[in-house]
Amino acid sequence: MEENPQRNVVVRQERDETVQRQIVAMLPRLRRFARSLTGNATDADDLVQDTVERALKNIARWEPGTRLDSWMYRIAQNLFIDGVRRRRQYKAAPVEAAENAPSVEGERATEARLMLAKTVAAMQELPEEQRLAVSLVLVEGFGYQEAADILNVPIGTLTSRLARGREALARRLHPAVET
Amino acid sequence: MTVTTEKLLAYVDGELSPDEMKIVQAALAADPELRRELETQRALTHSLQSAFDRVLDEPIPGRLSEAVRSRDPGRSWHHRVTEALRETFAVRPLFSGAAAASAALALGLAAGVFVAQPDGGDFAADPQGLMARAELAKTLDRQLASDQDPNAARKIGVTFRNGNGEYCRTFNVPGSAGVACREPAGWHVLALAATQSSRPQSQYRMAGADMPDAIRDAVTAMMAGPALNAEAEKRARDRGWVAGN
Repeated sequence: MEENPQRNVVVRQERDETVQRQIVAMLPRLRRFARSLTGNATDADDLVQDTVERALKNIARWEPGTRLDSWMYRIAQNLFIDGVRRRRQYKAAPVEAAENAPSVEGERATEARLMLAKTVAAMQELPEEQRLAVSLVLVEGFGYQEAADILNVPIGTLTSRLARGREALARRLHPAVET
Repeated sequence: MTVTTEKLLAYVDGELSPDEMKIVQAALAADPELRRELETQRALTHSLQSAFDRVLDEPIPGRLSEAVRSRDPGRSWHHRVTEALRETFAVRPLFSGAAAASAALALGLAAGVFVAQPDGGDFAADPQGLMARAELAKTLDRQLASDQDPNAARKIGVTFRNGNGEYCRTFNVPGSAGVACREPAGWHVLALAATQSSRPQSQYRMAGADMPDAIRDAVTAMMAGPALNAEAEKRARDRGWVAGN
């Protein structure tokens, strides 16, 4: 087939604009994913920003017709793991203060806030591999196969990381129910 | 326990087939300990979702929207070309034909990967790189810097020869400035960068004054001799920009 550079230009431009709209729509979920990995807003948004930049830079490698969100999550988890390995960015940072809860809040509300903070902290204590598995399946709602694809591991590896991560979290967060 | 932990978790996650679900449900009915484990897992899922779902309701920080927008096709393309140039000239500061050739290669790749033209018709992506076409090609072919309409959309800056003896000219088009060299196939655009104003007719800007650093640097790197004066420019044009030494 004859190549038409002008037409290719237009096609690429349209694709890029569509992709940008999809990425904007994806930002809330990517931020949630990053928050569950890093435990704080600043590192999480750094991770999301790097993810967006890397994705747009490499957009030619994304195959149209495949899920853009899975591809973005894959980039995010790669950056996260790289960052952890470099011991520079995205490392566990102090959990946002939960003790600043105004005293006018009812006991239940304070309890709920403490539970949130405990949950965020417990996630930070998991090994990164387990944290990724827990986050993708339980927080982001991916199916096992999708999550395994994002992490580029066999499904058995995913389910075993998921089981170990859950066990550790349940011990920390729901000991009374478990015993 | 009558079913494995992983099976129970798969049940909680909705990953089981209808048949497997029935097996787990039967086991749950018979085993209080398994029911407690199920409750624990459901409570855990709930805790995780409450802790992180609230992020969805937060406003998106400006820097993230900006990260998506700042790659809008027009700017992205400029950005990419400029980046390719900078990398090329940073690793090869020699003002030689080889440097110009590798710049051309880098630009060709950049343009091929992510071309999205800001202005439609002035450029064509080609296997060799980016070529000037239509009005821009015409301007590069004919227009003398000494004799141009100050309100023209496309203007010529300086004309010079590169290490291969080819004639090169800087130009301004709406929103961009660049430099192109006359090769047998046509005007090969070796550098292009966004100009600050996307309104070329702005009366506050003079031809040639609106020259981004990236272009100025590229020109400095490519030049093999002084810029042509008006007389030499006219002579070169009248001879059809034939390369030589």
